[in-house]
Amino acid sequence: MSFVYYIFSIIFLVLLSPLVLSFIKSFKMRLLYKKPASLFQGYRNFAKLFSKEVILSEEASTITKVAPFLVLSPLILVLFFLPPIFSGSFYIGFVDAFTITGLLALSTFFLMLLGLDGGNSFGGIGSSREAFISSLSEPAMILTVFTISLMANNLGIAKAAINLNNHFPFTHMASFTFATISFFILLLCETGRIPIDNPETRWQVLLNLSFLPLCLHLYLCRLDLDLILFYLLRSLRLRFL
Amino acid sequence: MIALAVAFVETNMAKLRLFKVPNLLGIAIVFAFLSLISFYVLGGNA
Repeated sequence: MSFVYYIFSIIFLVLLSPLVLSFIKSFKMRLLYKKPASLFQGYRNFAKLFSKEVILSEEASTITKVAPFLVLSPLILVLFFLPPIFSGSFYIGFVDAFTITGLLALSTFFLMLLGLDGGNSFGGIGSSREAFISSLSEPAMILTVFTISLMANNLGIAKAAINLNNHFPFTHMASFTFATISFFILLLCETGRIPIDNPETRWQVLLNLSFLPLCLHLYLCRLDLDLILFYLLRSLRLRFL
Repeated sequence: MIALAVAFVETNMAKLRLFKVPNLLGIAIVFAFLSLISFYVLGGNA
């Protein structure tokens, strides 16, 4: 039964991703006194993108064909290592923060390859931007997650989250507050949100792509945000916010 | 709650120039270090 919960939680996270993004967009529109879009707009956009035809440039190599899937697969893999949502659910406890950060970096690497493969100027701009931001954000992310793992007395992410859930170290509230601020900045960075990047124009790296890979990329962006949001919630528990 | 915070930041801040981004990420690194240092200053896991 615990394994069923495990699979269900992964499917739940994947399906939830567009809803989280739609919710953010809707709330932003409310703050700007605009009529908010529907919460299901994210799902409608996906349905539209998936129905479009695949067109690949003649200059593009095999990398362009396989890279969208290589970008997506490390993120999907990370989903399997996350802390459990439901109590009593199965989890993989030995995967540490370095592995998770490495997988996210691997995904960024393939994204950069994809941008460069088309040989156009926009791809180069987007890829170098991704590399620049990623090289600055990954060390901070490793350090933050490592500190949280130290506080939880376990380097394994899932086990650390469970330890924090059961025995939250209130003496280290200051460390948690600093880690949360750092994590929040990294969240904006990893997901390409304003003020680091504009999610609407982030796809300059993908202008050489057709719609199916673009769709996959849009999806992984949502998944990325969802992953980091979920990890932040689970590991920090938000007891001090 | 985090999603609301993201939306709030996005509506109140303009996009940074690329060469200003390291400043913000520098703040993230400093806070990460502060977190690690304060963990040990407060006694670690002992």
